[in-house]
Amino acid sequence: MYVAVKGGETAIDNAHRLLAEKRRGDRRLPALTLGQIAEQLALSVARVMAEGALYDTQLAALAVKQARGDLIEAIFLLRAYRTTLPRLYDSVPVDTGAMLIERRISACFKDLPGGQLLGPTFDYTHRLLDPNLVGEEEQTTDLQTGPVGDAVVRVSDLLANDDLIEGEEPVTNGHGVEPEPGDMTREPLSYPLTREQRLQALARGDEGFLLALGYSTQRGYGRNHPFAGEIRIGAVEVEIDLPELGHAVPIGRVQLTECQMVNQFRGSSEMPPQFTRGYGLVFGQSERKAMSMALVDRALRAREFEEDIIAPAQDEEFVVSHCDNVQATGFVEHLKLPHYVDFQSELQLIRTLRKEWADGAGTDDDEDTGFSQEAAE
Amino acid sequence: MSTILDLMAEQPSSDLAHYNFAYLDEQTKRMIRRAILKAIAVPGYQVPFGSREMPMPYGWGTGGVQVTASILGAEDVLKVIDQGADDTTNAVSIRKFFEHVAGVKTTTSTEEATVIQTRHRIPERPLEPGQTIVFQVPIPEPLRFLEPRETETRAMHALEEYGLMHVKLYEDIARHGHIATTYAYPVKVAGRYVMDPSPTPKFDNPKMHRNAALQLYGAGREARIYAIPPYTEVVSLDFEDHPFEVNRFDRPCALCGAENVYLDEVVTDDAGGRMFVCSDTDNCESRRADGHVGEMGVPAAEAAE
Amino acid sequence: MSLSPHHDTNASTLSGGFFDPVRQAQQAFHALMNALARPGTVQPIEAVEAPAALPRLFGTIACTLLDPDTRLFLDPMLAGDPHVAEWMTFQTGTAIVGHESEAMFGMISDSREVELAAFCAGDQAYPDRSTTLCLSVSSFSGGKALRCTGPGIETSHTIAPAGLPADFAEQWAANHVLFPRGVDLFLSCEGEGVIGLPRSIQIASET
Repeated sequence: MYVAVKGGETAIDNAHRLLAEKRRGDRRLPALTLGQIAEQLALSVARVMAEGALYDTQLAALAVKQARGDLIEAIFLLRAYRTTLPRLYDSVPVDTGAMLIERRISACFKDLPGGQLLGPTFDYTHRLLDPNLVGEEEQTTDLQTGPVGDAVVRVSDLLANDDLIEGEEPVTNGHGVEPEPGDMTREPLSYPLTREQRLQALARGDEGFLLALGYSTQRGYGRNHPFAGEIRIGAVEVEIDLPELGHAVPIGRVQLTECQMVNQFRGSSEMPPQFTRGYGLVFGQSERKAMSMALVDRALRAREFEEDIIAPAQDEEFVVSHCDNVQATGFVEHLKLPHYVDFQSELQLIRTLRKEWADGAGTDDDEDTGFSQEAAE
Repeated sequence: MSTILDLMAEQPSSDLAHYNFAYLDEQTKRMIRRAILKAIAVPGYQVPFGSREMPMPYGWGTGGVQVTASILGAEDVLKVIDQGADDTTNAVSIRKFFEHVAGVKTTTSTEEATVIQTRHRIPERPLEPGQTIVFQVPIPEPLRFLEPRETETRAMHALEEYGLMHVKLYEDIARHGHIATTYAYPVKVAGRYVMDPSPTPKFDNPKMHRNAALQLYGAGREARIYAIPPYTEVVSLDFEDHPFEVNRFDRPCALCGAENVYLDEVVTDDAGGRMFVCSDTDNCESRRADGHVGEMGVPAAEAAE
Repeated sequence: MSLSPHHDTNASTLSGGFFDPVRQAQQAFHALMNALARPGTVQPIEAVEAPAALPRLFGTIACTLLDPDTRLFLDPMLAGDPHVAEWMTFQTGTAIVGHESEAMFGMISDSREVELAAFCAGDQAYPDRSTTLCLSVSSFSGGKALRCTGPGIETSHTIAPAGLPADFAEQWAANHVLFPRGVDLFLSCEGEGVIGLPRSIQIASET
C-alpha cells in the first residue's frame, strides 16, 4: 500500500533545529560576540550593510552570525528587516568633500592638496598567510598616525575648477526644480531609468556581479578608458532637515567609500572636450565595490553620450535587472522547490514525442514531418 | 548604534508581535490594494507595484504572499497549496507564516477556504463565487522568453502585437508536431491581453475560463500584479489546425480512482515501478473519505485504523 | 501631521476616520475589490465620521486607499468647503490637486455634473496610471436602467442608480472604447454601499 508523503511541518522544524545546532558549531569553543564580528570581520559587516542597504554595524554583525558567515544570506536578513522599518525622514545629501579621511588616493596626480593617504589597505601587502594571526592575541602595532586632518578637496573638484571634467549640476526639470530622485524600494522601476535610479540599484547591487561587469569594460566590452581619479574612505555626517528648526541637524556618522573615475573625454562643436565621470559610493570600506560601481555607472551612461550600446555593462535593463543578489539567489535557488507538476507535463509530452518518433521512423509522409521540412526552409 | 538592536531585544526573539497584522505595514497594503484594483479593472494587464522585500526568498512566493497579506482579513480562512498539495514544504512554510503574523484560520479544504494561495495548480473542485485564488508567479511576462527587454514587451502589449508568441508556438509545431509548451501556457484574457497563467500545467488552463472566483496573480521579484475577474473569457492560444489540448492521463488515480484529474507520477521502486496519484491532495482525501477507492488504495475506514 | 495654524482646527473638522484602521481598511478594501470584480453588485461598506459636506462613504474610501503617495481631485462642491480638504489631508496625507487630469482619485459629490473624459485615462503602455472616480449617488434605484456586461459579470447585470448625468451611457461608451485606457468608477450611496464599474465592462441604456 502506498501512503502519500506527509509531515512537511515536522521536517521543517527539524531542519531548523539542525541548522541552529550547526550554526553554533563545537560548543567547547566560545560563541562569537557581535562585537567580535563587527570589529574583526569588519569588511564582511561592511558588505552586508552596503548590499543590505541598512547602515547598522550591530545588526549587520548579527546577520553575519545568524547566516553562518554566508554574506548573501546575511544581506537578505538585513533587507527583510529593513523593509519593515518606518521611513521617518530623508537625509539631506551627504557631503563627501567634508569627509573625515581614513584613506585617500588618486591615480591621476603624483601629489595633490591633502596628499595620498594609504590608510588601512591590503594594497602592497604580500599575500603570504601570516602565522602570527593563528594565536589568540596579536601584538599591538604602533600606528604612527597623525590626528585626523581637515576636509580634503576632491580630485574631481580640482578638475572641474578648470572645466576639464563635465560639470555635475543636479538635473533639473523645465522649471529649474531638481526632481525627487525616486526610491526603487518603494516604487517599481520603469525603464529607461535616470542615473540616480541606476546608482541606487548599483549601490545595492552584488559586489561580484559588478566586479565582473566592471572588469568586462576594461577588456573591451564597453571600454571607457578609466582613471581612478580618486578613492576616499572615511566618515561623513548624516543630516536631516527639521522644518521646525529651519536648518539641518546631524543625526550620526556613516563610513563611506567613494570612487570617482575620470573617463575619456567628450566634446562637440558646441562644447570643448571634457573628461567624463563614473561614480561609485558604498557604505563602509568597500573599495572593490566602489570602483566596480564607478566603471559600470560610466558604461551605463552610453545612451547619454550617444555611444553604441554593444556590451552587457552598457545595457541598463540587463545590469539593473540582474545586479540584486537577494533577487538572484532567490530565483536561482527556487529551482529546488518541488516542480513535479510541471515536470509531469513535460514527461507526458516527451513520451508522446518519442512514441511518435519511433512510430514514424523511416517514413517521411507523416503530415507533421512534412510540415516541419516546409517550415524549416 | 545599537538602538534598533535594543528595541529588538525587548521583544521575545520568537515573537513577531511587533509586526503589523499580516506582516505588511498599512501603507504598503494600501499601495498593493490600489494595484489590485487596477489589475481587476484591466484584466490580464500586469500592474507594476512597489514590491517589498519579504522574509522569504524571491521566487518562493513573495508576490503571492504580498497579495494575500493585502487582501486577508481576520474572518478569512486560508488554504495554501504547492503542486496541488497542502503538505509540500513551501506550502507548509507559507501557511505557518500567515498563522503566525495574521492569526487567521487555515484549512486544507478547498470548499472551506475563502482565500487560496497556490503555486502551480488550480484545485480540481470548481471554485465558488466569493472565493479568491492567489497565484505565485515567477515570470509574469508571457513574452519574456521571446523578448527579454521590458521596454520591448511593454510596447507589444500596448500595441496588442502578439505575433511573436504565435510564431513561437508555430515553430514548436514545425519542430515537434506539437505545441511544446506544457505549463505556463499563454492565454488571452477578455479578448485583449496575452497573459502568463503562472507555471500551472496547461491541464488547468480551462479552469481559468469563466471561473466564478476572483483570480489574483502576484510576482514579487518582478514587481507585477495582475488579475482575472470572475466569469472572464480566458482563451488558450492555439491554431485552427492545432487546437489547444489539455494533458490527458490514461488511467485514474491509484488511491481514489478519480478520472480527469491531474496526476503525480510516483516512482515506487528501483525497477521503474510507477504509480499515478492525485496532485490535488484535498480532492483525493475527500474522495477517499466518500468511499472511492483506487486500484492501489484502501478503503478510508481501513486506512484510519 | 501638522496643519497650517490659520485653519480652523476644531475637533469636529479632524475627527472621524477609522478607529480600528487595520480591520476597517481591510473590510472596506474587501468591499471595493469585490465591487470592481463583480460589477453592478452592491457591496456593503461601513461609513466613517467625516465633515458634513463629505459623503461618509467617501470618507471610508479615502481612509482605505489614500495616503501621501496619492493625488486627489475634489469636485467644486467638495472643494468649496475647506473642511473637506483639511480632513482629507489630516486623515490620509493625500495631496490634493486642482486639475482633473492630474488626479489618481477623484471624488465627485455632484455626480450629475461629472465629465468622465476630463480625468486621466492612463497611458496605452501604462493603463493603470488612470483616475479612479468616486461618484456619490442619491439612490441605487429609480434611475435610468443600465445593462452591464463584461468581465466579472456572469451574464448581464442591470443597475439603475439615480443621480448620474443624463448622458452617462454615452460618456461610458466613450470611456470603454479607450480600453485598456479609461477611468474606473465607484458609485457610492449612503446607507447602501458601493457599486464598482471598471472600464472593462460595457454599459447600455435599457429601453
